[in-house]
Amino acid sequence: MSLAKLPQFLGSVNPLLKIALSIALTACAFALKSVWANVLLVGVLLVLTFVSVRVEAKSVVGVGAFLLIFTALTGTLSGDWGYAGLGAARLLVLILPALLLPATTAPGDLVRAFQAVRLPPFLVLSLMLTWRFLPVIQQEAQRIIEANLLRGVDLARRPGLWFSGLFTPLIFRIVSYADDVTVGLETRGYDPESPRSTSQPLRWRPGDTLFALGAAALLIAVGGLEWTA
Amino acid sequence: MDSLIAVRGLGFAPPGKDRQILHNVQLTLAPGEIVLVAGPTGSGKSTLINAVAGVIPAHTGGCLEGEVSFAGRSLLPLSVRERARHIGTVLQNVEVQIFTDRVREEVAFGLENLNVSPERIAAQMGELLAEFGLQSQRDWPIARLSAGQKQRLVLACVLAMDQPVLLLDEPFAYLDRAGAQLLLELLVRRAHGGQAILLVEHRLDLVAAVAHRSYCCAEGTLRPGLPQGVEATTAPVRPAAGPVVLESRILAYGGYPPLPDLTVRAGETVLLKGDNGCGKTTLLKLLCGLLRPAGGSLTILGKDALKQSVAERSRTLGFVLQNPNHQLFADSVAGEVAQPGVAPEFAEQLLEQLNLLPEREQHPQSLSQGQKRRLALAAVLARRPRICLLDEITVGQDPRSLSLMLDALEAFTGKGGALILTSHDPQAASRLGARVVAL
Repeated sequence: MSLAKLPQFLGSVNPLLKIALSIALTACAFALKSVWANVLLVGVLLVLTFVSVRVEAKSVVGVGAFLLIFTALTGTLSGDWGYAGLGAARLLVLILPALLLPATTAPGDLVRAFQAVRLPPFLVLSLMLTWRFLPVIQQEAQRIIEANLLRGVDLARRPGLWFSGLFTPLIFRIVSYADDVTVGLETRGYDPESPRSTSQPLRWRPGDTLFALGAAALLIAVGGLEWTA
Repeated sequence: MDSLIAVRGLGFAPPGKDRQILHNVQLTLAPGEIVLVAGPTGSGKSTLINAVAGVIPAHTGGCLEGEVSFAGRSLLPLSVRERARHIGTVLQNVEVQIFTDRVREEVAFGLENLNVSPERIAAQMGELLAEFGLQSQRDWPIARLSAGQKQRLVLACVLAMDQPVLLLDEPFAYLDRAGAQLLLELLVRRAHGGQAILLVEHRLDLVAAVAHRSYCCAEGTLRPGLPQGVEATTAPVRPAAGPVVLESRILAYGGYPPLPDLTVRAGETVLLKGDNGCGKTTLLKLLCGLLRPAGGSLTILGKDALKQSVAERSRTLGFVLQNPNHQLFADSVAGEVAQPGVAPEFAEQLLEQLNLLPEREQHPQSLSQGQKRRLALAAVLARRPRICLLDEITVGQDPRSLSLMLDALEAFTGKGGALILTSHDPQAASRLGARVVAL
């Protein structure tokens, strides 16, 4: 899935609200036993994904194939196809918010959100670096794959070379990244102990109310389906 | 005039080594002064900047001796963060100084760190983006910026912090002529305003005139004066007599204006010239297949290249990337060149030609940026491509190192190879007798 952002509604929603909803959805994924409640959640999350994130067709095919195999395996092994369907839906409810949150939240917005709730500075710093780390590693892996292609090595067709051609250089990059980025951050004057201003103070907007109401309605509907089941 | 920065008897030995790569360095930097440090790649220029900024030895290990002070107070007990209150630093690899994903967010990030009020951030951001020619990219994702635009962005971010001392490690590396001129004027203005600027740079043709003092960093020490240049030779544009090896027609990609048509013959050198962000790297990536064009045609050695994968194209086409870190995988310099199918004698010959034999057992990532670039070139030439694409490979090269690379490239075209390169360095184009294609 490409994490390229489209001009979108979710990107302007208060990050704290998105984090709260993501946590609630993760809890739901573990708690819900009704297939239909999970299907409703998956449906809403899929709609949000397709309107917020540029999704490549091959990613859809890949994820679809993985889910089919997962469901088939679970169904065959357990002999309970309802349970297999529930497992696949749960998996999607866990995965989709984890993809949507980083794809629709700028690192700067995240730092502002954490500062607004007075999270300890060291935690803000760690979370910010982690947030920055994931796309960087994705980018580095892509660059290493491309550099291999330029040497005539198509890693997708030669899994035997994954270790020497991808993992080793990637691990090297990850290790050096940690130090490089700390130096970079310090040279930019970031000090977790010092007060920071914010160019776009976090405000509650009408869109946030709308989103919160929508999320509440969704959770009530999901609760209703679970109750009746 | 009292100096702001004073470096006395500075020496540094990297971890695990007894031999110092900086030895007894003496340097002062007064308010309003621009001090230029030039010298061969790997001679310790970046190490000097890193020692003043505090990166060395805190983040690298190793043994530092001597004294570095700011306004009479020792900086040695202070961290990079604490020194950053007085010292603005632009590192050689600006990508590690970028922390957000949008241009405007990045400029705001540094000002937020300084606790500047939101109203002032908004005003200052507009001024900075206009000053650095990034106004039309203010809402762009940073990933979409070219290397030159990223360099301008980080310069804007660091200069916005307005510290009394600026340490700039090759700030002109990726800048086009207009961008470089703009930065030069800005640095002169900043110096007139009282800032002290320490500049490490290879593009001496640009910066030598504005420096109040110049030093040559060689064999770990600083000597007054600039390094002796290698005599620049100019070759006339070579007539293209060989067969056509690459032909592109109306290649189109993304939001770029129409890319120029190319007809490249064996033995020919073509320079793609244009401002930062005009699509030079994008065109090279379209030629090698890393990007897929929205339209147009591309023929390489008589075959429809658009039907070939990157790996298939790589049999005849080599690409030296802008950032050598993305292209070096082996655990030794020799291993990087000795790829499958490469004759050991040829690998040795390339290492010797590019003056990398003394480093043959070293890990590629332990080399200086300039040495890494030479190694990346050796690794590509080792595969004997018919066409070689070179993206800004002259960056970070001292005249001697650049001359070695140009010798190797001349030998390549002399044997019928075709070169397509991008470079802001006029010496490279004139020495190779390149035909210029404007973007």
